[in-house]
Amino acid sequence: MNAFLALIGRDLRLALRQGSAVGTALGFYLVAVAIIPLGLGPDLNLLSRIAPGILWISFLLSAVLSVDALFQEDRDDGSLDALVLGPLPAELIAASKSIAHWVTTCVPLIVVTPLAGLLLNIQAEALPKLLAALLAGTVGVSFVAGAGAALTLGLRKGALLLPLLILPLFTPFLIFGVGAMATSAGAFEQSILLLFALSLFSVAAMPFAAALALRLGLE
Amino acid sequence: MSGLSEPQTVRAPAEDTMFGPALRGWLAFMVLAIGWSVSRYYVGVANLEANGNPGWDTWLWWVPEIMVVVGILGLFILVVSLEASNHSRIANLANPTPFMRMSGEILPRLALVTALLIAAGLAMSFRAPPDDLQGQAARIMFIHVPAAWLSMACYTLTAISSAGYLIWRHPLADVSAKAAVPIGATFTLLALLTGSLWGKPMWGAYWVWDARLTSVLILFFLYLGLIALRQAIDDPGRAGRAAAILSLLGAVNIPIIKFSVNWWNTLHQPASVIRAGGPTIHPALLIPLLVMAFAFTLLFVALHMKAMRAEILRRRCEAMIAIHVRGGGEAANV
Amino acid sequence: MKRGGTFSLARIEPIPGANLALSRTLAVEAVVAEGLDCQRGGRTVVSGISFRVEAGRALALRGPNGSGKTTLLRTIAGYLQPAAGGIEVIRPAACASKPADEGVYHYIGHANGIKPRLSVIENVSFWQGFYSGAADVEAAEDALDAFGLLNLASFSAGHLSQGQARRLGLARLLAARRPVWLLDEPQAALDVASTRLLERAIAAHLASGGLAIVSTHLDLALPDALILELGKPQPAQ
Repeated sequence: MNAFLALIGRDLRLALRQGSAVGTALGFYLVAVAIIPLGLGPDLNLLSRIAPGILWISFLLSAVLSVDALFQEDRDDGSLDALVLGPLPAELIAASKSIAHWVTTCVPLIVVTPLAGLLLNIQAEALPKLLAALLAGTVGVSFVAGAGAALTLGLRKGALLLPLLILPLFTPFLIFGVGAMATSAGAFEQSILLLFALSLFSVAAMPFAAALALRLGLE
Repeated sequence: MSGLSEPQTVRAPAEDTMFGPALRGWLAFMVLAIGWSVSRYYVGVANLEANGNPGWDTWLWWVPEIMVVVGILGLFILVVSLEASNHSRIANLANPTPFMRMSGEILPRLALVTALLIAAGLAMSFRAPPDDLQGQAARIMFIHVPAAWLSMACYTLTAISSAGYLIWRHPLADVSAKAAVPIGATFTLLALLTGSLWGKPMWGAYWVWDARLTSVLILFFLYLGLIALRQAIDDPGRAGRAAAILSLLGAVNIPIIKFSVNWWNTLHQPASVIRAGGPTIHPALLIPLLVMAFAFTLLFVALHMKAMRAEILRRRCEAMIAIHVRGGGEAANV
Repeated sequence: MKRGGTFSLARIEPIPGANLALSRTLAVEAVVAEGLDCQRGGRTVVSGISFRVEAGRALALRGPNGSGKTTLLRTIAGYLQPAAGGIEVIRPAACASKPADEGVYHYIGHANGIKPRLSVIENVSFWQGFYSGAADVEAAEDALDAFGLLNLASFSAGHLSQGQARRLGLARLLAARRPVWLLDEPQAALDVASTRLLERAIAAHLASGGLAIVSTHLDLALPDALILELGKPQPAQ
């Protein structure tokens, strides 16, 4: 447990000092959100109707692009070699990395989401629902992305390959995340519960896949 | 090289470290649980939606439970026989020579039967009466539905082969998984294309974001990801295992994706062939459809066998070339 | 807290013995390899390796580039699966209940496993805490001291020279104790004085009942080490 916390602590500290990584994801998120109205036209009614979808899609893209370096740096500087010899099973190493990714990328993105929503004229009553859906769903997003990052570890075109492998697996998150905004009765509760279920499932299952892929990446 | 002193007890090569017994048990449990829940959904919930009653009274209701019991028995027998034969059975299967001999005998006959069946199926398809509502356009169903079935079946085969490769490091399983993916992708593409051609007269557009089309599209992307991942890794052993992990990841996620897409949008007509209350298609259309489905399945088996043979031969060539190159190119010709 | 002055060989105190003694639960009797074939990328790189290294001894792997030293070390560490044969860690009967190779190895490869954004002491403290499960500042500082880095403790590791970075990487050997050291060219980038520090650390490790498998050229002195000569890359059979 201490080793687990030490690893998360180190990753958080690194992300804090390396501010640029978090900043880049945030910048990408805001630019992606800001560029979409340029393609759709400035109609505020249309934008406010599709705002949750735009925010979710930009969020998932930022998450998948930022996850590329999750294991890569540790592999390149030899840390990963030393980590897997430590007391933690590879499953827990992968889990701690995904948790660190959630804290350092998803949480800042969620924090700026109200601002991004403002750009799209999102309705005031939709915003709390969106934030709740993001909080419930993005944990699972980080874990799925972690498995993908482990799978593309050390590949030349890993950064390009990763979205192709991972975005189809994000479909349920996107669907229920945007579904939470539906106005029909019970849609919000149902979607939030399903997002929680997805996150729980990902937390339980993805570290196994990530660990298999990590061992492969060390060969 | 050099023995420095007499070794004492020595551990057997750690070939199973990726899958300890606990993980194998967990995997088996996952497979059974997923299989049970998916089939329970289709047999129970889908039936409830279609007919308004869950269909307790038919034996079909118990199919998921029967599957689980058969699966547990099968796993038990598999484990016992593996222990008894000390992996010799798997080791024999892993040797491609018997496979090459066997498939070489089967393949020409299989190809002949497949060709005849497809010809018969096509003839029956064109002789079938036109659909009451959809007219002649419905005939595309005879291609579309078998292709859609096979797109799923092919992924299932890929996932099972991948599990076999990851658990037993069985090279033939890797060959099978690798060979199945492009075929599956082709059937998926075929299902998408015929679906969209069918959609134009029916829905007025080549593509609608209907639940089933969408989930098949996502399945197609999963296939593309598998192909891309394999191509991105140079070392074939590593590529095989990475693709196996990804295909299992996809297999676990497919029911979830399918459920979510259904939740998202249901425009498509409900499943009409397999359900407890009996098929709702008229027999005049159903029989050609079943013949075509069987013919397509045989086509898939034949293509898969051929692709596996090609892959095995390709690997032999690679091995021979590697020996030749590392030997300094002494033999002038390979 | 000891703070060393500027680094010089004369100022290095003996490595504190209390920190070095291997606890009983960590002890290992021997590492044995039998008929080991190592593969990398589906290709057998070294074959037919057999050795037995008792606690307190070192094994030096020698051989030209491409002879498979790194592959052999990575196979022993468990990163690579052997193509044939096996490796066994023999532990005393007292701790036979533990899995044989759990928590036994330290591996230092060509990369040092240090983070330039963390300070020197944070780097070594992380590995110390990660491997042993409890933060121990003394142990981390002693490890830095043994490699002459204590006076740089609070500086960012990104400022270190190649040789200093190598020493920082090696410091994790002492920060968290493990009985078997697998070192791949550990003296690379080290100057003569630093190499002496490394030799001293290895000697103290062996004296306290540890063992080491080191791939090295002749410039690292390993007194009465077993020597395993790996051959040239094998031509086709």
